[in-house]
Amino acid sequence: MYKYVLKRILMLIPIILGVSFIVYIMMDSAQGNALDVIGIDYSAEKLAELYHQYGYDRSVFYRYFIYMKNLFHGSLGSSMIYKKDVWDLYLQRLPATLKLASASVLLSILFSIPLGIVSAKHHGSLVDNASMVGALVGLSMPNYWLGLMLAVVFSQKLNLLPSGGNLQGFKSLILPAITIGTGLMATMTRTTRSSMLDVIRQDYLRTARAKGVPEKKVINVHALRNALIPIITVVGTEMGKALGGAVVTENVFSWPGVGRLVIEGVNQRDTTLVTGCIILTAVMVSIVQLVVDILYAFADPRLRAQYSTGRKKRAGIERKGGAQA
Amino acid sequence: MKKFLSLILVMLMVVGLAACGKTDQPAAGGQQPADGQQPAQNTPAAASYAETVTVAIDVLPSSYDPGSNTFPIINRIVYDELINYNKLTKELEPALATAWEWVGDNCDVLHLDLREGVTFQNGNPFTAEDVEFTLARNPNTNIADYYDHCEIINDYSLDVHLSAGNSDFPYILTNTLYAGVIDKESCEADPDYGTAIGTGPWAYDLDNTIDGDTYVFTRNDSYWGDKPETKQLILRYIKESSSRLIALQNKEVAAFMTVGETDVPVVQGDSSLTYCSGAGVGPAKMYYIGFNMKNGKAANNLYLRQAIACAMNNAEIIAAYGDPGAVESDGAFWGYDTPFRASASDFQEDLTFNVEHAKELVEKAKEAAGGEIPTLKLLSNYSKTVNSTMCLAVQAQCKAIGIDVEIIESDSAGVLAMTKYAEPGDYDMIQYNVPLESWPSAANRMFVQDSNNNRAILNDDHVTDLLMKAAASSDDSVRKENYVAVQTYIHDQAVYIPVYYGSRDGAQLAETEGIVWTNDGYPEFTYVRVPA
Amino acid sequence: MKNQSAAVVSRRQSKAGEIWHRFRKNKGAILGLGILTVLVLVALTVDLWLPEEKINGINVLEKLQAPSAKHLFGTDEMGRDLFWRTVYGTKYSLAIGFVAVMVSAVIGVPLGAAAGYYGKTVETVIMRLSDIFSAIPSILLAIAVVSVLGRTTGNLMLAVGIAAVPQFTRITRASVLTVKNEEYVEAARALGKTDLYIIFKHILPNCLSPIIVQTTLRVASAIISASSLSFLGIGIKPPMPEWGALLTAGKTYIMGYSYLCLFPGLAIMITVLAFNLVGDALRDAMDPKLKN
Repeated sequence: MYKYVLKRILMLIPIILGVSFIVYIMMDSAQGNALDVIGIDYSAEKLAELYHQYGYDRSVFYRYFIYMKNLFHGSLGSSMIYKKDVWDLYLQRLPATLKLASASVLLSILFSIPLGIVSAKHHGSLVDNASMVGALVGLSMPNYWLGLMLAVVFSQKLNLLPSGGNLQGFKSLILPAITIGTGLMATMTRTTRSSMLDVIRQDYLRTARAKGVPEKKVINVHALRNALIPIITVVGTEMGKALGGAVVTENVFSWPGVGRLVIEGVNQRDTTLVTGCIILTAVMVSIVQLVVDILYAFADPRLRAQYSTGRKKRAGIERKGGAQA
Repeated sequence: MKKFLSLILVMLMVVGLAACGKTDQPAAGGQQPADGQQPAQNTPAAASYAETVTVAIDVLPSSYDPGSNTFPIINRIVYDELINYNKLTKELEPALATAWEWVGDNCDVLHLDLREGVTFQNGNPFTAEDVEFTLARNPNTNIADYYDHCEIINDYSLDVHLSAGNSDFPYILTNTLYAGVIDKESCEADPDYGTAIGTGPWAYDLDNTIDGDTYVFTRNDSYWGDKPETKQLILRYIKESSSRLIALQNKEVAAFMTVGETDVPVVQGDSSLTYCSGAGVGPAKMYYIGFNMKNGKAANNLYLRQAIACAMNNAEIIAAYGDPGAVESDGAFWGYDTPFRASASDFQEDLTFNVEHAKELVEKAKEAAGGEIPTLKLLSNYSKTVNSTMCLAVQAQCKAIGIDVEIIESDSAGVLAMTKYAEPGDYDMIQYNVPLESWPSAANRMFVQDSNNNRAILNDDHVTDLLMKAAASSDDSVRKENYVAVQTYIHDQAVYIPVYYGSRDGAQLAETEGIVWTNDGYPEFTYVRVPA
Repeated sequence: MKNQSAAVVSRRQSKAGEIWHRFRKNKGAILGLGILTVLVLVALTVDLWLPEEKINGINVLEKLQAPSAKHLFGTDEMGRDLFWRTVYGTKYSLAIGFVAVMVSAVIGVPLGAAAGYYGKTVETVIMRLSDIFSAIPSILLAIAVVSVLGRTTGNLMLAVGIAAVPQFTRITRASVLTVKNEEYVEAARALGKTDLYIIFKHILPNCLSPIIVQTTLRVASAIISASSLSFLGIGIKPPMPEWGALLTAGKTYIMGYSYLCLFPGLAIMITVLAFNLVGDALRDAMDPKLKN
């Protein structure tokens, strides 16, 4: 187990290398650079001095090399625009991003899992059809559009909730969380339903029923437990996505999250800021993935039998399961 | 094994909760204007206004260095300029410098007497050394290209020596963007944040600031001038104009800059809000079309440039966007309502809107080019609707005289790079805007060779020569003669085609007081207050 | 041998018939298919019957009119008829969706197949690369691609497409793994067929169903991604009436003229819904286990 976790953490290294290379080189080769943005009114000499200082008089690879050298020493460098440590800037934004991500995921878990179970249990009923149509509509709605409409209704017309920002605590969180949560809810309801359907008619459930286990227990304990794996996968993926910063929703609600920081960084060609934030996001996402994998073991110790052809992470669990057996 | 797993889970939950808890703290500290609990020790005068005022901004501040911060709103409240330019009277007024005068006739040595007893926000005294430090390190071309050295006479007086005569230098000192005075001592001690300390009425509250989103300021209680009534000022960046309006209607903010084009009637129709136009106050943004004089296809063809100038119907362009405070250009590329402005009678060519004349010029242009006119590339920045609207209108108007225009767009960094590192064929024309100062030398920085503002990439020695002559003279008639000659040349050569002076606006709650709304889109929030 | 491959073919044909049979029974799917047919027809023919003047012609006198009989969806800030612009936008939105997914499929499927088929180092390299790409949030990746390559329709498609490559790689690899040890593959290998031949002739045709389903669903999300990019201001260039761009223009006016946002938003939603309906039904039809 520890070995497995360690191995997964070591696997972050190639990801960090790859991500930093791709993002750095891409940002750097975009038209315009941060120095021109800062130095729009600078005198020619000062600008030349600045170019030299940041290595812009040499090749991209030189700058990347310097960046990686600093990274190797544990420094993400300082933002070229804000002149502030990228790590500090990221930490300023992380709480808001975490808050929004967990709120929206929690919200969708709260609604979608019960709904998915009911739909699966009453497969083909009105409830099932209605919730599936609802989920499809939710899935098909661009979330910035939903966000705009929610803001118009709840802030402008009804004057109930703040239209944006993160200054009013819980009240500020509601609209953005619903905006992101709607899409998540749709995905998760569908996943719950289909994986419940998958297990609901399996032999061991029939056996349980035959043994006189109450139907409620059959569904909520035996079936749900076995249907959890795909649900956890979806939760993990969506949580990962949300951690990357729900850029669009953050923009609609001027939410001070990581996504908006990165977007402004891209607009101002702040290569160090963008690269640093994306590396950190990638690390966060990988950690969430790791937690998800560990949760698999919780949900179903018999992974090995069920998932013989899974993905990389499942293969990892499989190996671990093998070692235990 | 299970224990280990639950440990991890518990830890994750704790981290999550802690993260959620943390964000609430600055929020709780920052935003309670409606809360009636005033601390008992407050003076009666302060008690009648809300302690905290939040204002929405639509431009992103960047660094904590007034030299490179391209955000005048913050510069104006945190730092003081040496000389103040009164936007309403268009007069220079004392600020950190109480008196100034040229030594000699060449406009290259400026004597300054400084205000005594002023302290920086960290308590350090303000002296001539800080002025020297500020000017010497300033990277801005307006200062760096002219500043040579300072001769400090005593703590409160000094001579600024320039490398070349520049009669507009006192005006340049009025701009906090160029010359917001910073504390030498703190800058030397802390190169990163030392520049965040000024002498102005508001001090950065860096602990509660979220860079690129929320900027928090506390009142500087030892300010030398009139102190604001409000204790804490928060600037919130809200990018979308509709979101800004909703935030105002919701009373989340006391005011915001830049009303969306069609939101104007909404604001005017709402009795709890006030529409505030900055029209006529301060520099006006000039919207223009410029030609790539360095390596654009159109540029070497004078008739083609003139034809396009004639084809452009400024009134229609203004109507398409619908700026309520717009002032149509009369052809001079110079600040609106400023001294030394050329008038239509100075121009030798008539390039006013006239489709027939434009078509004649196109024929001449074809003759000169020896064939058909190729499709021209019009470069624009897509970040604002007004730019796209203007480009579409120009495209349609050029089409009417048989010239095809292709619009190429990039974000502002991209446009900047394209004008700076223009390769042949990158673009032929550019649509852009520039705030033109309301001082005498209103537009000269647009013609300086190799300057980033010179989007026409016009490297013309004749123009440079005229500008130098004007700057070096303290005689107004000589200055006027040369500045008018520059404007006439630019107009007749159709290098820049000015379209209109835009107005910038904002909106506030009806009860909000103390904001000076200006035309350049950077209102002064120094004395903003909301009755409690 | 010939008989055997003939048997494979006929089995495949009958399988297709079976899928269609099951697909037909799903009312939602038929509805979705109907909507898609109409949309595709509109997209393909719109240039023939809708003059450009009607879409991009500026008429300041009629700007910002509410929906009426003359202008079904009202007019925008430049007096252009929003209904015709939305209709014309079908072309752009569908094209972006299809091309972007083609980009991801063309890159992702061969990579996934190679990873699954060869295993070992090839697999490790491809899958690690795909991990790296999926570690970058897709919208940020797309934004970066657009700001590097410039803001053109082609680059937008490329950006949206590249961001979805890892998904195709993974899905293809997973399904290749399930068929790579089947007897007919072994047989082909024994006969000395080249790897390329085996992958394209035997393996990929037998793992098409998840790829087809993925493609359908991805078109839907590509349309949303592209419109999100437009919303952030880096999508397709004006005056082209892509739906996301229409929405973006509309959001400025959302306070007084919310219909400007409503109709393009609905257009996106209906199209995406149709793709999702069809994709879902296809999945159910191809994998009857789920459907019972």
